[in-house]
Amino acid sequence: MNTSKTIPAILTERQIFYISEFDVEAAWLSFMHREGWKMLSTTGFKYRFESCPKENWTYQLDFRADGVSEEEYIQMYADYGWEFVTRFRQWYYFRKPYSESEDMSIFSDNASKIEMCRSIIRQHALLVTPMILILLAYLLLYFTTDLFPGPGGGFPGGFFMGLAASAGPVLIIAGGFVLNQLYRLKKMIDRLGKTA
Amino acid sequence: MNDKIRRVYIPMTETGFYILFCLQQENHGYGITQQVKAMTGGEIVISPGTMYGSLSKMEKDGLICFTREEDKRKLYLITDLGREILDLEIARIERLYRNSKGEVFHEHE
Repeated sequence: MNTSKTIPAILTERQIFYISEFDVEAAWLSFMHREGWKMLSTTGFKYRFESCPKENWTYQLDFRADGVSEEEYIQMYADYGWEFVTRFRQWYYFRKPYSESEDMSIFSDNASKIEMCRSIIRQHALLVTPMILILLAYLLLYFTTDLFPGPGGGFPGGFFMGLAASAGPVLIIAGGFVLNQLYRLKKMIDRLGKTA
Repeated sequence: MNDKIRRVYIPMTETGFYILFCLQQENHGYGITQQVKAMTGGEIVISPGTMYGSLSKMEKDGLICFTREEDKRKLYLITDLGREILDLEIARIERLYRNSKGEVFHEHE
């Protein structure tokens, strides 16, 4: 190679982390940076990286519920030496060069980490509550009225019947998934609470 | 004082105590961390996530209030309610300390 300047290579990785696995996700991003790939952005399941020197950086994720404006929020992290990487929904990604003499966590006590987990649960409960209500309304209408005609009812009836029949299971699966994630977060809170 | 606020904040976490204590003078998040680090000889270092969460919560509960902005940093100050909580907590810590030294208090008649 005789090029002194190289254009950084881009890498896209597919990876799924569940809501309760934000620490695992952060550890994976730190690992990628040590391997020479620094994070650029994420869509929740696709992660974009750029080639960089293999360095030891620590990544951390914070869930921002409300409070101060984004600019002030990022400034606060910058004051502590954390570089803002990217944002996905309410998740903020930060990184900082690793130092042995420093606490590399963004939470210095369990109480505040528990508080973050609680706000994740609150936000997702807001999301899952309408799903459960729709599901209940659907079941109620299904069993107590003849709004959904039987199979073979021709175009409008049969079509809506099919739609309604498939909406039920989809809602059950999606709602169950979110509830399971919230349950895992609750377990994490219990674990953190025991060592607080 | 609201009984709920009292139950949430007393006893206080070490972090909560130092933040409220420092906000007797106007300060921002990182400034508080530096002050706490200095006054505890580096023993207590409050991280940004913890600081941000605590400030938001205390502001929402009315223990501290936003005063002004300086270079994209929010400055806070303790409120009257915050002062009341802090005084209660200081009295509690004093009792704890004196008990730990073997002192016994007697009930008032």
